[in-house]
Amino acid sequence: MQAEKTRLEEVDLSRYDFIEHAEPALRLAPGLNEAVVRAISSEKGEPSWMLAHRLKSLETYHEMAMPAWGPNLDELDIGKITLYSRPKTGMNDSWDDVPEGIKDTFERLGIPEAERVSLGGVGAQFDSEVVYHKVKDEVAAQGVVYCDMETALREHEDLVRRYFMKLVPPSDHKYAALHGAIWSGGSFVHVPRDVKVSIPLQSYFRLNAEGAGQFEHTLIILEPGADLHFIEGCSAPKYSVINLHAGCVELFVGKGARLRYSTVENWSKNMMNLNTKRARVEEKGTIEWVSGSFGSHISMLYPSSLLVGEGSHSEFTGITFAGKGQVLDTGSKVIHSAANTTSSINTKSISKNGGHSITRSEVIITKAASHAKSTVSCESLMLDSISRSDTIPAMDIRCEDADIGHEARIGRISEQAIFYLMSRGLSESEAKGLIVRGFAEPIAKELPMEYAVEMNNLISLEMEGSIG
Amino acid sequence: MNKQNTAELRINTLPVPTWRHLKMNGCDLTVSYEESPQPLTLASLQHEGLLVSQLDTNTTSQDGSLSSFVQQKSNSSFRVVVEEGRNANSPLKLNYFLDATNPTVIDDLVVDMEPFSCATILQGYRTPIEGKATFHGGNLKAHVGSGASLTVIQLRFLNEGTTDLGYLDITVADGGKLEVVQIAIGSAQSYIGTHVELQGDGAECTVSCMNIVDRQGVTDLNVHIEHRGKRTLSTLVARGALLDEASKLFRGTLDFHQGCSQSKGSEDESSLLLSPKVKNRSIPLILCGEADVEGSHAVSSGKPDQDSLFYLMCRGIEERKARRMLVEAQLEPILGRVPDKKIQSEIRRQLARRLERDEQ
Repeated sequence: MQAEKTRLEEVDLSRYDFIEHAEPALRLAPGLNEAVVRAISSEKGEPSWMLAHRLKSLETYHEMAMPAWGPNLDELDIGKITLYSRPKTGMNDSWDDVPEGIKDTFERLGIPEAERVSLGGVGAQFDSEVVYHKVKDEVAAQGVVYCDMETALREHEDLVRRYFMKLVPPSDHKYAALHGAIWSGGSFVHVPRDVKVSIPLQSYFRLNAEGAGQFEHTLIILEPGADLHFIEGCSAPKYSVINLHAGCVELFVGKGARLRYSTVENWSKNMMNLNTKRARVEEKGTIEWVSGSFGSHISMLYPSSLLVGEGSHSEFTGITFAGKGQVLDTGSKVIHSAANTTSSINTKSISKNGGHSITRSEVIITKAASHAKSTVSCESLMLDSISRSDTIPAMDIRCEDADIGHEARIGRISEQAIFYLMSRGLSESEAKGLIVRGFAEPIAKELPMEYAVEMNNLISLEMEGSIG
Repeated sequence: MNKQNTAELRINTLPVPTWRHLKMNGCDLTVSYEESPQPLTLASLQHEGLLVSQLDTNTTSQDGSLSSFVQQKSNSSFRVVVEEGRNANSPLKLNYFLDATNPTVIDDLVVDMEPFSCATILQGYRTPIEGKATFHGGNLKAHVGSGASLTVIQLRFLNEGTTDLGYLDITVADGGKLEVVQIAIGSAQSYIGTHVELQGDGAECTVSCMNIVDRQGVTDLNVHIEHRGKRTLSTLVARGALLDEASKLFRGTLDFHQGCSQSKGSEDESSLLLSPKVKNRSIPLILCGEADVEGSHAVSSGKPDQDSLFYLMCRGIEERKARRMLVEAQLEPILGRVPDKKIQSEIRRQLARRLERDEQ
């Protein structure tokens, strides 16, 4: 335990906030128009149906209004965002083949080390394209497909066509439409029937270019009885201009299958993070979302579960830490559409130094969801009075024998608890740090050890200068 | 037949909007109503200890709010002043009956509680069990001065042809205390908004809502409590039962503003669902801009507890009666806040009638 504590205090912010001056092979001019969409599709040599999908999505984007709720997105000018930037390398399956500058970026982020120590496969995306993808032999031998989306589109076109943007249609919201038009990169996973993948797979997304966007698409299909833990990591260096992330994650969980999708996200504080994540869960299947949101200037992120099979289950466990200049609007949605479905949403948020944390949730129990059960719990911690914390949970119950509970609490660090810890020899800052980490602990314990340490590191970073 | 009028209103707006597809951000309504004679006279409201006068409002606002509509169209407008230090022992009762001869009540009431005064105001709206479609629109604006205490009890016993709209807007000064009890049973559609602003240090409020919605009734509630003063205290309790094909939307917001240090607020909403065709929607918000506060809310929804039902039936109580006992137990926290035993009995009779019909 002592060794772990030492690691927490040795964190260096520069691990995330460094800029790799890698010249891209291709950087499209900023702005969104049909030529940009056609150029992206042409670059990738896509089938005609995908180009048609992109063009239709572009139409939808122009037709749809900006959200009339949530954080103010006026700072986002799509005309100033570079929507596609291809690094000077193709897709590699050996670190040795990745160009030095890009390799150095991921090494500083600890990706190769994580791959060696704890992962069954890893994908790394740099700006608009995946630059490295590798799956361990024993995982590949189980029949698991783990590759970048462009490869999937070439080698598993039928599967991609069957599932791509079927859970999150471009008409879902304006930034889903944008994603449908200009998506690039991302990961594809297919786990065959009854295959249990014992070690996690991870995709890491690094947005390096200034004033750029990242629009990766993650598509995971678990056949009946399959089991997978997938981890997503995100970071970017800080610039003075707005960057945009509008990714999309679609998860299909088959009958009796189980998927855990973990995210530790540390976007830089000039990032607009307008991401969409959704899972469809069949009979007796389980989706588990574990989410740590620390970075970005503005986030709007609400992983959603559609429980369509009888006895299916969803769990969402999330923590948000909003600091200076950040508006983190996060939460989760669950739609119960079948009998005996169960769900839980547990969120924790911390606001400090002018940060604004908004926890939004939605639980819908349809008429078909007899004996459904759902619990929602939101806890918010305010570290000062220049910050804000809002909780906006919605419940729509259309079935009499559903059992629904919701509770929320908001407050500050107990002075009694600080006094107690200080009377045991801790300084005030150590006491507050310990209490905040204790607040986050129920989330941290849901992550693999390396990522729990990473999350604690991020909380330690955010606490610096706020106390004492 | 009296002249028919229509009005377009935007009411029960959520203080902070959320996803539009939920349709919880507010209501756009078109209502129709007949012109109607004055339902109450000033002479009938003379009350020892309270100064009651005719209210004259001259607003021309077209903002679509219920309060502007009521101010312009009211057929019952009064102003009540409770002088400093005066304690009105008995409640001021404003009882309205809506029927074929008096199908519309649009009442506007302004209450000014001067410092350290104390009063109870009871507003009752009743219709025959069956009958002609009627319309009620009400607006109550009050200020509770320093150290003053105001209790507002609103009773709505309305038939399935009635459209019922209500809005309360009350500010509370230093050390003031406000209690609001709203009991609504029946009606075709009911839209009731309550806005309380705890402006002064040490101001307190308790808002209790009980709603029994049956047949194809629609109930839409919006309670917004703002904490601005230091050491303010709020309690919001809502209890309800939905029968037949009824639907309910409850919006409850505890809003802690920067500077309201050491304030506390709690919200507790519970709904019993007594039919497979009911719709129950809730959105309990906590908005917080102050670190030194404690806010909490809890919401639960479901059928009467089956273990409790089983327990009662094991003790020889037949299922129908056991079920009704559980419903009454659920509503007891609100019933207990009505000080008048006669009114409590009336509420129980109204409730029993609805539940008996449900059991048949």
